[in-house]
Amino acid sequence: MNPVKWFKVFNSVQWKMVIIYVLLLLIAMQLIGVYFFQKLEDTFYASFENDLKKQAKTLQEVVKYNMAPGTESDKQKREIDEILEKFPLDKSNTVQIIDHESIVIATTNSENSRKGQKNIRVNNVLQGNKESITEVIQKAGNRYMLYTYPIKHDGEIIGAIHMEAPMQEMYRTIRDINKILIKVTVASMVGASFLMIILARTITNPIKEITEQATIMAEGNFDRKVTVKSDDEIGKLASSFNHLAQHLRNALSQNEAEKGRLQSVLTNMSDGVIATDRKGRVIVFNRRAEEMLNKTIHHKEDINDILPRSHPIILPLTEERETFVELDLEDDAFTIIKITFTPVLRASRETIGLILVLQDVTEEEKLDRQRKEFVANVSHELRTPLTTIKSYLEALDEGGAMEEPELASRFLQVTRQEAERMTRLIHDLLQLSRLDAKNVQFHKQALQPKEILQNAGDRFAFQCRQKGIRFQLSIEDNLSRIYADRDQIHQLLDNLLSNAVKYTPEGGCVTLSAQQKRDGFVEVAVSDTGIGIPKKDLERIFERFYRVDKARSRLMGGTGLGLSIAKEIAEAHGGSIHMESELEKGTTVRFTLPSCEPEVNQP
Amino acid sequence: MIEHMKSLALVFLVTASIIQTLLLWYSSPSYQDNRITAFEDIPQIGHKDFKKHEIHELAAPPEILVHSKGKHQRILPSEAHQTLVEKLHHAQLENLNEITPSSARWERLINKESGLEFRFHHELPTGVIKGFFKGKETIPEEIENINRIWVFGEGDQNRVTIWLISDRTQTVTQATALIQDYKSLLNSAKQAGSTALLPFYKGEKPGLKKEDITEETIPRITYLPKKRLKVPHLTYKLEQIKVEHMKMILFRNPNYVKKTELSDQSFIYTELESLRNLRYDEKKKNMIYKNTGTESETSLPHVKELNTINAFMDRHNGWTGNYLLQSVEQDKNNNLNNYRFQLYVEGMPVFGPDNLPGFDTIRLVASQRVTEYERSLFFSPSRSEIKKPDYLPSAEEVFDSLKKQNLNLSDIQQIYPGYQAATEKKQLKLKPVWVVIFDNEKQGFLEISDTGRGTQWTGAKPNPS
Ligand SMILES: Nc1ncnc2c1ncn2[C@@H]1O[C@H](COP(=O)(O)OP(=O)(O)OP(=O)(O)O)[C@@H](O)[C@H]1O
Ligand SMILES: [Mg+2]
Repeated sequence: MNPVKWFKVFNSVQWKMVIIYVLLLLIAMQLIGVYFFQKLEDTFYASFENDLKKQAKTLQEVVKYNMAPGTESDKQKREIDEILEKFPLDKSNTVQIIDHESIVIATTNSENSRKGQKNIRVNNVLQGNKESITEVIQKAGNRYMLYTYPIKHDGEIIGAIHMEAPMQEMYRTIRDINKILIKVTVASMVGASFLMIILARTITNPIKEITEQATIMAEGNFDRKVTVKSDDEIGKLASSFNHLAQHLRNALSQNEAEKGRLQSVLTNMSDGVIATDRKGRVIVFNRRAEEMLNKTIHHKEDINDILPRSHPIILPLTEERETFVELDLEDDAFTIIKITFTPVLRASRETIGLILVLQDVTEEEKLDRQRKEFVANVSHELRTPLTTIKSYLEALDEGGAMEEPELASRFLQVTRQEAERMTRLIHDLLQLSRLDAKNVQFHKQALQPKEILQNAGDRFAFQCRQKGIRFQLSIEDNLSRIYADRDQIHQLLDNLLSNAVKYTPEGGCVTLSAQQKRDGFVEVAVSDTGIGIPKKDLERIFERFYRVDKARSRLMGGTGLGLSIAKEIAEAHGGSIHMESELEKGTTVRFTLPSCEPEVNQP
Repeated sequence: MIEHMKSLALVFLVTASIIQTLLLWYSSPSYQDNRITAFEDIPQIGHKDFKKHEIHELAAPPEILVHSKGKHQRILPSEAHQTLVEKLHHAQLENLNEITPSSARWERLINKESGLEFRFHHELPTGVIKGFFKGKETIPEEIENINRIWVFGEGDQNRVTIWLISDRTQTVTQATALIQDYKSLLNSAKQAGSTALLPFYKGEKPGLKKEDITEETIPRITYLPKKRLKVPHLTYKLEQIKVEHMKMILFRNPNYVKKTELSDQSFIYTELESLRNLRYDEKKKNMIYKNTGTESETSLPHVKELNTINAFMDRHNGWTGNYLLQSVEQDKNNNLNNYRFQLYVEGMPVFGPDNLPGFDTIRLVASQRVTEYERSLFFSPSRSEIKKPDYLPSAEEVFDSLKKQNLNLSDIQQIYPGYQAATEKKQLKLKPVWVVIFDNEKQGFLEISDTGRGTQWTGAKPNPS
């Protein structure tokens, strides 16, 4: 293991506690040990000294008679030697008998060479300065106690006893006791650390468990519970932790539900929503926004990268703002999006984010345009004949056209034509507006389509002949009856047939056909071999006032409302209308009408 | 912050325990430094040969006269002398009583009987004599001093008569004693003795007559050889004892001795603790040691004091030659006894040299302890190095020179052989002389003159007045 790992292992509360306790115990035991051994040594020392003193005292009593002043002789010395030999002394001790000149006169066997030497240590005793001298010296690695005791004779100091006692025995005893103490210390330290590990575990394990639990909780799992083992502080911590987890779980699920709701609201909104943070980075958005912008939005993307470059926003935004963005799609199509920027403000009016609401306003815009266009068209259509009428009337009034009756009648004819045109136009408009307002009173009744179609064909056959156009009528026999307003259907057919005739040159052919559809509808088709309509105009052909070639159409007396009315009528009857055309080849307009007795027509 | 303190405390705890453990591990009980040498060897200055084992050897009479029926011989300190002294020492004195011998008794003792006369050159207190004898017999109190011990008798069953003679009180104390093999002892003494000497009592005619002896006086006979006596002239190398050595010997703790210069070339060494001091005169090569710290001032019996002295000298082989007790003087001031020991070379006392006072004697004062020790730091370590033949003047020559000085034998206490010392180029020259002790205790030295013809006086002027 590397040091960092070790450090990690020992940086746990458990090991810290163990180390602290063991060290405290060690220090305490050491202090106790020091005091104890001090005392022990003192005691041993004192008894050791006392023992030497006793020996010296008794020896002194015996020896002093052989050392009386004036009696020194070799014989005396020999006697003292004998006494030393016979005296019950500790054999490990060296004893010296020293005369008043501090000269060694007798020693125990081991130190014969000392005889005749001066022992300086004993001076203080010989001098009477000290009752006795105790010294401890170190010699050849061992400690010795030196004890000097005076020899007195008739109250006078006549010599000294000097003892040198090895103390290793004493120190060995102390060491033995020391060893026991060390063993006890080690044992108690081991025991204490073991107990501390257990104790620390009882404290740290629940904490570890709680920590684990917290980690799991942080990952979002609230289901596990900490086991509460006791009723103490740790138990309380565990139970309150469980309580906290419970609360969090509830709060989070509420939050989650809220979020889900919000999410679904967002997703299902018809408007696009983008929320950004203070710096304009996307934090929330819905799919609708992506659809509308036709772009994939990523989290944290800058809002300016998402919006078209032509409309950058400068942050921070403090007030609500609106902007319209026109997005060009392929093939002339376009989308207009209204974007509402709403800053999210704190109570302190500090911007913390931005909410963008995107609304697709293309349809409204289109309608608006159509309306404007319509008005413009109507006014234009009305002004044209009026201007013509006015100018002809002026010409008649001023120009003296009245003098030429032919010219005048022609003028008047034109004026009448124009007025008729206006009338027709207004009639058409009125009809349309009625249809729009669903104000038309349909007198629906069951009708034989064949009858109606033949009727229409009869009406136009003459016109066609006049114009040199072949007219065909092909009607299936088993057409079911339709439920419709006769006048309206006539109107519808008129509008279509008039167009076919109008836009088919001489030698062309116009066909009116009808057939029973499977779904019970009756399909009527008006086809010609006329000039046809360019593809791009096909979609808008049913719009009011829409004409392919305005000039030509007007020349032909068209207002551009015929097809619109046709469409309205067909749809008002629950049918549909659509046009197929090929430029220079011909056009076919088909419309369907519901039959009033479908069951009969079931094949 | 607190977190920090906690970790600091933990670190502190760890370090503290480690330090404490180490401290305990390496600490050991205190003990005194043992570098100071506790034991000091005592320099041995003299030669062991001169060691005196017992008091009687120290207090031995330096001159023994062997009388055998009118024949007189001298035995000076030597092996034979030692044997005789030993024998005497073992004699048990019995039946002590004071007697007054008649002149006839004296005449018979000197001229007719055989006996051994132990002569001290100076009177010695009876206390010392008591120590000389082994026995416990008490010598009567009245006799303070003893000059001579005379052993005589037939020696039947080895029983002899012993006279203790005091010249000062003119008393003779008689005792009997048993001396083993007395007769053979006497015979061997005769053999060891010198050439026959002539006894002179009055005048220059040898011999002793009964009439000459005054009644109730103790006769003092001077014994001189008829011819010149052949005694060698000796030369010794001189050696000096180092003061440092004396310091080691005399002080209890020589390491704490203070040296002070008193005057020119004179120093005093003091050991404050024990009140001991040592005065040393560099010029005279002389020292006086005083131990004033002794507890009691009361004097002990002479024997004990001598014993103390001998033990004291033994410790350092202080007897640098054959020293014999010369005299004991009581110091009137402190009641202590001054013991003077004289150097003997080849059995003869040495005197001088004049430029080295104290060379010939060692003075010691002792009670419980030796309290004074005075001696010269010069000594001659070995036996004779150079021996030259020399002579002592004959009896005739002695009397001639006495006559020249207008002196009579009656003016003279004793005449005995000795050596006159002189130094010459670090050498000690010993010239044989007759030591003449006058009645007034003065002494003169008579020697053969340098030419070899006639005699000459040296030392103190023989002025008896
Ligand atoms: N059968 C057709 N062939 C070619 N173009 C046609 C045909 N029918 C209609 N159109 C085109 O469609 C346009 C619209 O027709 P619509 O009938 O609505 O108007 P109009 O015929 O011009 O005027 P109105 O019918 O009101 O008198 C015409 O202007 C014409 O260009
Ligand atoms: Mg038309």
